[in-house]
Amino acid sequence: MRIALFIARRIAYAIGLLLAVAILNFTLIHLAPGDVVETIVGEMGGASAETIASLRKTYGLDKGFLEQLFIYVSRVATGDLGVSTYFNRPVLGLVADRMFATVLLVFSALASAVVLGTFLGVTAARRPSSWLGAFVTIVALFGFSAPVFWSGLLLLLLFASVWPILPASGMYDIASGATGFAYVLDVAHHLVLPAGTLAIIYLALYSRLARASMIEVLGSDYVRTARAKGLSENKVVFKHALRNAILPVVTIAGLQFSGMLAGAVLVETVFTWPGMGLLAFEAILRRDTQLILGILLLSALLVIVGNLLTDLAYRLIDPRIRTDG
Amino acid sequence: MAALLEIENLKVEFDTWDGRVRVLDGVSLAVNAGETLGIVGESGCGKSMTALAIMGLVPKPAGHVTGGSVRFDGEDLLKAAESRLREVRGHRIAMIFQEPMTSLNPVFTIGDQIAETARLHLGLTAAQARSRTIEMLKAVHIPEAERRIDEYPHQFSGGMRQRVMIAMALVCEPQVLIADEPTTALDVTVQAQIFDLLQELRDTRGTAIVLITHDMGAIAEMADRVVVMYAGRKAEEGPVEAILGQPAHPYTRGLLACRPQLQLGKGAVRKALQEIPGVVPPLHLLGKGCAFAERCPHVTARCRDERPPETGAGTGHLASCWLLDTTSDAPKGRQAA
Ligand SMILES: Nc1ncnc2c1ncn2[C@@H]1O[C@H](COP(=O)(O)OP(=O)(O)OP(=O)(O)O)[C@@H](O)[C@H]1O
Ligand SMILES: [Mg+2]
Repeated sequence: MRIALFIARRIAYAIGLLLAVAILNFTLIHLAPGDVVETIVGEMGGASAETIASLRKTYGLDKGFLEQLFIYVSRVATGDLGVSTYFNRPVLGLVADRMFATVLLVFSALASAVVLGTFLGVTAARRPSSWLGAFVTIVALFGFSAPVFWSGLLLLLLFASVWPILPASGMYDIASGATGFAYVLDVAHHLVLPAGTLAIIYLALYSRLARASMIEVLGSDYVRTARAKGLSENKVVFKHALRNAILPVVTIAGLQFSGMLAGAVLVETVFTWPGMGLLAFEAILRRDTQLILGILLLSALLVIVGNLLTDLAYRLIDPRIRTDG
Repeated sequence: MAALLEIENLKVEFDTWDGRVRVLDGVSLAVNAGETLGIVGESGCGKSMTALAIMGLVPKPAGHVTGGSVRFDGEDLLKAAESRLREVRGHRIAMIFQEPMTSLNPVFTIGDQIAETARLHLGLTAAQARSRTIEMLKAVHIPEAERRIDEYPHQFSGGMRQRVMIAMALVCEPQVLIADEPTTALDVTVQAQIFDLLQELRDTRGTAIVLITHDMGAIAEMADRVVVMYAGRKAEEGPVEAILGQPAHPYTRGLLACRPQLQLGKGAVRKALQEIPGVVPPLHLLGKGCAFAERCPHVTARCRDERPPETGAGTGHLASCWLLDTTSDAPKGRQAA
């Protein structure tokens, strides 16, 4: 199967890429001033030279850079991401617990931005000189120029304070102790504000993109053919045109997946959403090197998986790509 | 007896940067069942627009049909509701386009695209539509139809794609097939194959064909009657023998002289290509007289001031030219040789 070969090849690439990312991350962290020991000593209110030296030994910081790097990379290769100095738990488990929340946040934001953006763009494309076209342009301009933390705080004020219909923070209501479907609903309720905030920037972009792409496709020869067959206008637009018009949106959405992970750090901090971003924020404050490295590595993994999914989606939509697998 | 498809005094206008432009100005023509009508003329003279107007597909919002009628089987399609037009399109009147490379949707298999039309108009089930599609692919001589039905347009050559377009157009056995320069984008050998195919289909199914082309050779081979268009107007109309043998309009004569002619003689000299001097005037700058006046070798003052009426030049042969006017105030233009 061509598709299996394609995936196998991409996994091989991914492993090489992750190794490179691990080396690069470790080097960068090593170059940055300060380390865990300094933070611990700072919290202890000072310590003797012997204590500092023994602490350095405990964390393996007494060895040379290349030796440390070698130890780190060979550990990572066996799946051991080390132990968080602050949480005193294995990094892998710690990050994995938070990964679901981030993936949920980013995917909901991405999906709603793509779906809603495409819908707005298509509607605007069908009536190029209507108020909706102007509206899409204005929303695009606003969404694209407003920083996430600002639009996030604005939404927070509006829907959690002025008109309190949405929860302002967290991922679920601990007090309610809901389970099953009620739990899912509770999480969805908490998801609206953070995902909405994250989606706004991209919504703007995708609606512009979908509009431009749709206008072009609606003028194409095969759309004329579809009309000449006697198909209804809705079939022409949503079956024949949309599948072609959405290709650039899928490409851009895939490329922006990594940018969205970065945006998630801010959004998670504003809404105290218990994801990797919030964890990264804490890890950086505490100089928890192993945790930072683990988060960076697993984020890279997420980006690689995201890109793979994008390529798969693209191949699914556009048969022309499939032949050169 | 009324013809199967009859267009009368059709007018189409476009909103452009230069203001309103009349792209079709009073075009009339008719086709009967089992007949092939050729439409010829230079690029931009309105051939494709005539076809699109028949289909009710004049590009919106810039284009407007501002007058005339398109009678199909007695019904004026210009007055018909959009839902009625959708029943006619692809079912009673089908069209194949100038650009085989881009006229098929790249993201669906050719089988899906043909079957879609059959299911829409004939109410077939998926399985019935599939076997009907295979039948059509065989009818247009696509080898290995059972396998190729599941392939995508990019897996076909230009000639094969045009065959697919023809299969798609004919799947509902339309009464009228409009072929807009079906071979312009194809190799010469493939051109001949496509024309053979069209002729075969007309003879076996009695389909009326409107063949749009600027290839006089194709006209000679295919058409029963010919309409010659110039700058959105009809210049001349008549049986193919009359148009090719005794053309009455100076423009038609010019078009015929434009054909490259191979002469096998001493050293096989190729005769210099004759051409009509000048270019088609921009449509928004046309004067009140004959549209061809500025390029016509026989032009008179009257040609610039008054638009020539359609005048008889033989049985079923009409031309819009003052040269044919035999009334007393006719100009002293030389008559056709
Ligand atoms: N969307 C449009 N807006 C303005 N003018 C248009 C538009 N589409 C076509 N026209 C004009 O209509 C006229 C007729 O065009 P049409 O496509 O019917 O020409 P044609 O005879 O088919 O030429 P060709 O041999 O190149 O296909 C041209 O002068 C063209 O400029
Ligand atoms: Mg044309």
